[in-house]
Amino acid sequence: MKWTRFLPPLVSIGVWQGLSSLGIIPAYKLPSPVEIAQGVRDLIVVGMPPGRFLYEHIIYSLYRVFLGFSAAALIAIPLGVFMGISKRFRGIVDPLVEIIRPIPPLAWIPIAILWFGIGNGSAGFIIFLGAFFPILLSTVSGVMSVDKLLVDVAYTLNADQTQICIKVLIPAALPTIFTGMRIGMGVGWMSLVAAEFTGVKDGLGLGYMIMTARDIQRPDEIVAGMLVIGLIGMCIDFGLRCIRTMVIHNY
Amino acid sequence: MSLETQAINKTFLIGRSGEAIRVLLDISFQAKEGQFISIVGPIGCGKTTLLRIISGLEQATKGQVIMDGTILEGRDPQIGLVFQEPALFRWRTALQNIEFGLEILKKEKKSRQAAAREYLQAFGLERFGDKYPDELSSGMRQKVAIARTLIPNPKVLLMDEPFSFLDSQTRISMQNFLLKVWDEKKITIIFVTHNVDEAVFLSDKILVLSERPARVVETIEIDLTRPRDRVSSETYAIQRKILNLLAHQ
Repeated sequence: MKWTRFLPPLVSIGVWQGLSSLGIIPAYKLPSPVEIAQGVRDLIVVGMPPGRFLYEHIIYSLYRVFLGFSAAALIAIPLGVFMGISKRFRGIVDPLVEIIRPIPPLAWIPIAILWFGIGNGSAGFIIFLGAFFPILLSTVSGVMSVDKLLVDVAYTLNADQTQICIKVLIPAALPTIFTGMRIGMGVGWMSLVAAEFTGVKDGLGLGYMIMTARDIQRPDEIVAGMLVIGLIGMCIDFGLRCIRTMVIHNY
Repeated sequence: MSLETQAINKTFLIGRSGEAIRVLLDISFQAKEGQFISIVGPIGCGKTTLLRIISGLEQATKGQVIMDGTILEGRDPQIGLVFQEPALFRWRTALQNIEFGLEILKKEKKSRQAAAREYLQAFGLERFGDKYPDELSSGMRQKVAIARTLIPNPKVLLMDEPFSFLDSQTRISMQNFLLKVWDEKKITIIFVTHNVDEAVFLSDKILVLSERPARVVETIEIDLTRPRDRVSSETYAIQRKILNLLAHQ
């Protein structure tokens, strides 16, 4: 990796720090990088609220994301494969999908709380909704755009419908499905924080942490929390890309 | 196995109006066991459709395909088809592509890998078993595709202009290679091409088709000894005859 890649962020942080030190950016609006670093330290060492440490918030948030995202993938991928294969089935399911899809996951929060109560259930459900549609749509389009010739090849090699589906359609669509999973994970992760804003029973989660930091006016910890969310999101995406490479080459 | 078609007709209905397009008109021919038959005709005349019908990918509007005296209903697993493009599974290595046909038959992993390796060896690809299709040359890809079709041991091999995307050098070596395989396997081959010298070099019998709707203009038996001379006067005489037939329709 070339060192010049790090130049733009480093320069920006330097300028930012300079403007903060000169008092041009007021600390109550945007804390300086040094203050944010201290905020991160406080989150790790003291916790927000004190005694609830950063790693606990991260674990709870990851758990909810895992819950919602895996449920979304487990339902959306098979459903998408069927929709991709059968024009008739697609015709039946599509209108329903198209009505529900444009509803933002956050608009579901009130009804999610009614259904699942405040807690992991409703947060998981919001993530599920955020992740579900990108995965579903990309699976459908991935399966539909598989070269018809490959299906013919498999058929003339005496494969039956199930074998064609498992050995040709799914692996051929896998790169597109993974793109959908990456987008779904992104949307899910974004919805998570908002879902945690509305309250979680056990008082843990990155969204909850940021809201608490706001309540007691610690902008450094607010921004520090945002930074942590960004970094974890990036790590998850990196992880998904690694899995993608592994799966595609070992199918 | 012997293969025969009896008065095969195919009509496609196009678009909403359901306009009927006749593609094949009473195509009948006979291939004896172990014969090499070529089908030549103008581009777009319906040669591919004929192979798709024989392989069971498409249904004839009228007429039938008969194998060893039995009328075929749908697809017969003993018929293999090599497509114009290699159409390899790009997520599988060369070896795994060849294995596919045995995987479908639920053969044990070890035995099917061993069988696929034998093909790699015989096709001169032993060093490329672990390569993905993107990493192979076009000639190699077509060889892998042929191996993939041959591995379940079909008794009739259909080939749809399999060498048309290759340069003339590779094409010639692939023709020789195909004759070797044909000689070893003793299978019946039905080979579609629009390349007349290729057909004359390879076949025992050539079916000349007309423009669409395709009908059989003439059937030419070739009893030149093998290995054949690509540029002898007999070869040229047959080529000229076919070219004339194709030109005067």
